[in-house]
Amino acid sequence: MTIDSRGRLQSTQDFRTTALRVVNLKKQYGPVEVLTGLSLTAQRGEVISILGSSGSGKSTFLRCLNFLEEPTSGEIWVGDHHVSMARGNAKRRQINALRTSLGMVFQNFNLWPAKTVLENIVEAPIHVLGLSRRAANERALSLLEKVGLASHRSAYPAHLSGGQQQRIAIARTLAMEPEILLFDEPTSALDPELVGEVLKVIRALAEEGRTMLIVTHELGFARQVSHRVVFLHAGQIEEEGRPEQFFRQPSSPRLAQFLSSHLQEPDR
Amino acid sequence: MIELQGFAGQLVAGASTTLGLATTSLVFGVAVGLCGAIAKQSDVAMIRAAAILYTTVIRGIPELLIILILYFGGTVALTALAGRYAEINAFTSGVFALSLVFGAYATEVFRAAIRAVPHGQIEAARALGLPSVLIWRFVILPQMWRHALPGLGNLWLTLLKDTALVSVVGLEDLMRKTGIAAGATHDPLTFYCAAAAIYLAFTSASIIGLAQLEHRASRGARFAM
Repeated sequence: MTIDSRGRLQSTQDFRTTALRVVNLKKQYGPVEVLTGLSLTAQRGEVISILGSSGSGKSTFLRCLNFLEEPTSGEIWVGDHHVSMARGNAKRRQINALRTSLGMVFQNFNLWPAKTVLENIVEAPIHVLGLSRRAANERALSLLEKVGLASHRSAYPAHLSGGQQQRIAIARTLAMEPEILLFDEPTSALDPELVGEVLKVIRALAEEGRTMLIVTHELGFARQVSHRVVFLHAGQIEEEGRPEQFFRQPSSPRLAQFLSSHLQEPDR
Repeated sequence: MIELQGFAGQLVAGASTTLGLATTSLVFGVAVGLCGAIAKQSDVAMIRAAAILYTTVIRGIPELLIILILYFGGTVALTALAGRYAEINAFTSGVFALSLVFGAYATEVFRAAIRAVPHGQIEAARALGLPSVLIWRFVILPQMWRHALPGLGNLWLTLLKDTALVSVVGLEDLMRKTGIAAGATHDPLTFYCAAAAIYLAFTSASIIGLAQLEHRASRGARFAM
């Protein structure tokens, strides 16, 4: 991967392997169909931003991938690992395996308030991956270093700013060494002045060549950091493409309308 | 100093029985309450129904009746089991009755406390692949205590005083010893006041202890909200 003169990531590399393949994913809540047959393939190292108005199903899409919501039907491959998503089909063991390969970062951070920063990060590596406490601590400290919060290891989440909490939450997710990172509106709950520090961390992860799906309202960020941008409408992909063409020449009138209504938003 | 006419030792013995009964019932009652609360969250309809039946029945009957029913019921059951007349121990039946009562109310306290744990934190644990047992241990239980403690504190004070009811089935607790002393000395006021002072000492100490527990349980959340 290279970075062009405007600091934008270029997808010059050819992606050889598929990291994630989702086929015909559907999700119904009673009579309401939120996802109406969504298919998406992500190559290893690809960064895909997912845009859409509220209710378009973008958060539900991410939440279905790791079974925080049970999909109604569909198929998912993570690497070579296949899970049928049809209701009741997936076994607990398969779901847990899926969850360890998909790392999720939430809008509201969702750190555990009764645990220190370090404890938040090491708990899952120790008890799910079977790491020793020492190895988990080492891993956690190097991740805290990476998100610039090593000095806060003994603090409790409530004593930290939203931006700091989200960076800790990212470190907690990274500690599981997931193959794919899912970001569910990672900056939407933050005060405007704290958004930058979190985007910086996410950008650094993109530059490392990680596979990422990012649901976001930060259009400028999506444009800079993504290899591909996807626009959801009514539970389906309405349009997708490289950021250049996606933002400059949207072919769907709905996307054009969406983009123009978000034009006032400053680029980040 | 109040003149206890040689009954001081008896009162102390009764007070220690009262304390023993209350603390034993507390331990079992908390366990029962936790099970009840978890049962009420169960995915299995039968388990949920059983928990609802339990809390409805126990909370709907006077404590005194529960103690009597369990004492005499226990005696009947034990007699049938042994094949000859056998009387159930008053302390055992008291613990059984008070634990059931405490457990039924604690079920509701715990249920509310569990629901107060923000759902996002449980989802975060799930997304990391933590199995349910560990989610209970790391995420729900440590936080639930903070929300449950005030309610449990109330129940504990009620429990301490409800032990007096077990004296009706002959348990030599503080209440019964006091009654005996009051009758023997023809000085009921002194002895009932002395007993009241002892109960009040226990409950006051509990309130101080509870405040400290609450302070500790709010670790990490002190500046939150």
